[in-house]
Amino acid sequence: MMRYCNLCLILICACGGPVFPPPVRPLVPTPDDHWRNQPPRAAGSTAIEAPTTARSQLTNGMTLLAAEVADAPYADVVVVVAHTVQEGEARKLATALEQSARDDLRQLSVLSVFATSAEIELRWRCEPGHVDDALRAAAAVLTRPLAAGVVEVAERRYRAEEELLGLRTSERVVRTLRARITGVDGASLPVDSPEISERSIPVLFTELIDPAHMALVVAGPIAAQATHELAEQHLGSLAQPVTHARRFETSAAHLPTERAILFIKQHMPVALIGFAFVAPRLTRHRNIDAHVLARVLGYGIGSILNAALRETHGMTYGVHVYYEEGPSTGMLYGLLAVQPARLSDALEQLRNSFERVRRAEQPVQFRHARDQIRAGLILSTRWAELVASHLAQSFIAGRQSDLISEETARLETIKPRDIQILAQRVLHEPQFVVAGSRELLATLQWDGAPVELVR
Amino acid sequence: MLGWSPMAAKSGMTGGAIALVLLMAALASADGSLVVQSQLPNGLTVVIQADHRLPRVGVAVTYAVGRRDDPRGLEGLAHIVEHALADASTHVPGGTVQHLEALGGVASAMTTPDFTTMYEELPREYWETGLWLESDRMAFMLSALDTKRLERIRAVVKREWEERIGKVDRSAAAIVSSLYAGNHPYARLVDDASGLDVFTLDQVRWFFQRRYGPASAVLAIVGDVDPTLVDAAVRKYFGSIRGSSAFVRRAQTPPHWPDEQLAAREHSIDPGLDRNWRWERLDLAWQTPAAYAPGDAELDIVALMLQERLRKRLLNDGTVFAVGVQHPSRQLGSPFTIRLEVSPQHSLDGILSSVMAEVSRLRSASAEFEPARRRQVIRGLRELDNLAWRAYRLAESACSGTLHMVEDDVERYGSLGDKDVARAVLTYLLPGPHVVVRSQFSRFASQPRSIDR
Repeated sequence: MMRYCNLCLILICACGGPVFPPPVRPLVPTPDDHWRNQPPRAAGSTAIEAPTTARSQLTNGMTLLAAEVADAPYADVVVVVAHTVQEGEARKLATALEQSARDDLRQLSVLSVFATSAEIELRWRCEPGHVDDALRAAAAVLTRPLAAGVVEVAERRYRAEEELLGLRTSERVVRTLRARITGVDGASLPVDSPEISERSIPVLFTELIDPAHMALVVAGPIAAQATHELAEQHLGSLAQPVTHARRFETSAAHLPTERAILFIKQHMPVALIGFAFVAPRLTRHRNIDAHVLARVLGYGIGSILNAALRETHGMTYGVHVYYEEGPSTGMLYGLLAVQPARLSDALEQLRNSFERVRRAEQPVQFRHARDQIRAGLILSTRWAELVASHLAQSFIAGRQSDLISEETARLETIKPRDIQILAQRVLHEPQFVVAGSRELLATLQWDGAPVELVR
Repeated sequence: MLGWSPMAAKSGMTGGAIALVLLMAALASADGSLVVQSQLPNGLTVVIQADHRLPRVGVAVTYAVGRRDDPRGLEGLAHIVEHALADASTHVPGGTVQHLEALGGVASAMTTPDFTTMYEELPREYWETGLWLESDRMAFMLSALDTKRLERIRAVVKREWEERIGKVDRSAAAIVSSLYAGNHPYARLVDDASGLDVFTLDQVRWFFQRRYGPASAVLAIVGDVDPTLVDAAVRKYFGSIRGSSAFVRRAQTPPHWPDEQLAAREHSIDPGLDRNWRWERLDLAWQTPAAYAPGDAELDIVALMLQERLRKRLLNDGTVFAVGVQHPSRQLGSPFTIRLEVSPQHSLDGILSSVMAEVSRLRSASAEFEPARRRQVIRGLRELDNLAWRAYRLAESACSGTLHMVEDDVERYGSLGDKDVARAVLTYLLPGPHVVVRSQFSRFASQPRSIDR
């Protein structure tokens, strides 16, 4: 009988999967001391102090912004090219500049390059005392025409990367949202093509590499005056181009009524939802209020959308909302993935959440957002990387003032009511782009918004 | 309100008797600041590094439990516990991450094959709050965990899996996993969402109580703090925590692999990608030394050098569309991987030969060595600003038995020469990859395939 019982036990274990011991009991508790009920008091507070920044001009008109961050463990050398051309053309030129820089074997820095609708940024990060190397590397790329081989490789790389981006669902969703918000026809295609960005890399190089529209930003353990001399030595020979950049005209933001687009993408286990609103555009004053609104909506786990969709309903891993300052218009947008069966619920939760932020002040989320931005600003004064980014943004927006001081001052006075007023202005007529299987079409149509289908 | 833990029943220790009993080590970092490592009577290892350059503090707690410790049939359990720790605890019912974010902090958590680490960076004035909160997660997470909360956590982890883990990362993880023989802890690290529905609350409790006590954990604090004050606060917040004795893993060292298992093997694998993908793919993988072992830093530099060589040889002429060379370090041995997205008109065999020819050329002094070495040093310098990451590295390295600071990276990469790198190439890469995977996407019809061992 006992043998039979043992056999049964073995069979149960074998058939029923792993068997685990019960929880360890009796459980001996950690004493629940009274002081655990309250967090400790903050030990003072930290003031925001902007680093010393010197603004000067090289003889060819290039702006130099040099920030002395004395104890930084590295230095960043950033070349910022302001442009008003089609974004695809800027990305194409950025690819060529990166290709050219990487082919320079003498380069001893860490290089990163990116392009947006307003700028191309090339960043060389170097060890303290090696700013000279980084400036030499920058000069090697900018002061002579791009080699034919570099151009050929860059053209091919750019097209291949565009093709890859076209396969990346989130990229397609964001590009489509951007096209709807900015009204730029070319951006409405998920993949850039020679018909849109038709000009060649040498032409773009000649037009855009113009010291009058460029800044050199250096941040780290440097001396401003010595940096100016080095910059003059390496980049002072960069001449102004004969022809100037053609201005790419964007149509003014025209907002249709709420609208949805569905990308048919079979085999996706999730439905990817992108949403966007027209937001304040790039100006000489950084729009702190819009950054706060983005964080109130979707940044930390406690933000409005994450609390509603993730924490309460377990619908998504997370929602992140971004504020993008474009030259013609800004965009407030977010992305989230949900189970296809819950698409309708998710859209409803999104609309309800937008409405909630429009209708009432959100003091808790407001306070969190403001304090997060304030804490970030403290780092922005101490990390050479962030100091350089701030100065680069400042140049792109045509700002003369000390950006960090301006932002700090705004954070001291901003109120939850300001964010509600902004939300009332921004959060209406949402544009939705959904990627997923064809079956989602029924949900979107049922949901009421006009739906455009993209295969 | 109780923080569940069996340790006190074994040791008979009380909170009042807890004291900092063992000063294990005091090391000087590159900038001269002291790193103090100690251990509490309940087994918690504590590492403190004062650095007054930035007005911030990084706090990390690493538990010696990773994905390789998931019980068979309950794969994903360590990941669930990570999310539970990031959720609420008894005295932080609104959520621990939310609490940190409200202070202007940045909080994150990671479950690797070897460890689970909760880490955050805070304004310096909240350093004590960081300790209070981490101690509450450690001692009082289970008290706040009920079935409803577990269901919500499970739902979020499933969404994470669908969104992130279940997509492109899957084939790369499968390739790395296939480097190891069947009984090796890394041999079954491919995430599988099917297990997520299985866990019960009792199983989560059992797993946490057995493995996540203070004796299996390391607490690290880095930043603008007074070590004496931190020391006292650590005793206050963590000293009374009861926990199980340190969990001893079954296999702490890499087992010996028979030669035939190390021979190059070829696999077919489901690409897990968009079916419109028109490129072919070639993956190569080698077994390399464990984190911080001889050869580990050298191969980090080799990865950068090889990336540049392959870019110039294969990417510039359009043979491949993308090149990725990776060398993530792990406790029981690391994978060195190369992934090439190949234009369909080129022969994968020909590309494989080209790759191995470039590997072979790395034996001789190379023009790429100095730029690659400098880039590794600069990356280390950049990490000095990231206090959360520094705390993470301190906690995780102490948990693996070798205290390692970000500053040490700057030093260890800085001291390497081209001969060291050549030796590593000769020893680890030239014998040939242990796994070669050719993914010819047009061959994959509707039926995905798993690894063919």
